[in-house]
Amino acid sequence: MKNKIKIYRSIKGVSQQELADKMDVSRQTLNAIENGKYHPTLLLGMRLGEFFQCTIEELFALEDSDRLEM
Amino acid sequence: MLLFPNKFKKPSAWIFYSSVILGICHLFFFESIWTLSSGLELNVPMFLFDWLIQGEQFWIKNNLMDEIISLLLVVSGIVHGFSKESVEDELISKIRLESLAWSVQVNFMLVIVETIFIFGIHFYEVMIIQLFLILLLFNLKQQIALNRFYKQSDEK
Repeated sequence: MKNKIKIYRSIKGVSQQELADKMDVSRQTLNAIENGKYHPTLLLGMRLGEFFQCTIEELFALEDSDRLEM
Repeated sequence: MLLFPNKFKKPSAWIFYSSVILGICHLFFFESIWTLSSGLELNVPMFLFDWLIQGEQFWIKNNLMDEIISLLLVVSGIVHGFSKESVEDELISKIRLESLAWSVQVNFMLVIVETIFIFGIHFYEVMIIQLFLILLLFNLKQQIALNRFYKQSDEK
């Protein structure tokens, strides 16, 4: 799963630490999310969407390897 | 999940790892530890009787050293393993739960090996070690995983 948190963060002009504080997570956790090493829970994903005023689909997108064959 | 405040994390680590060393010393230098702690020999109530050895007596003379080490190990091990990080979040919870799952799996894999290869009184001795090993494995695994996580995130 890829995400655009880094892009949205730079558009909004907030640092990793500031965003982490607002989301009540550590800066290291936010860094892991931005680098795709950790996929956040739906709750944190929706909080991020609310903060950046965008939908969760705009922030997160499935990669081809994540898709199930149907 | 019930978690202890972050301020307990360091003191409990000191107590836990000191108790581990004390416990290992107790295992290997049983006689010396027993002699050194002779002052801790008291009359205590025994609720589970061994009729053949103790007869019917309810009060027995017992050196409390091993009970003290056991309690220190269990209480400090639980408090250390379940204390909050300075910033507690969902990824930390995930690391904690994964470490707990790993320690249970490794611990019981060892139990299987010991059940097959160890017999008699040695089996019970090893089971006593196993009782505390799960806490040691959990705390060590969690600490290594957390250190790796903090280090990796700081490098990027």
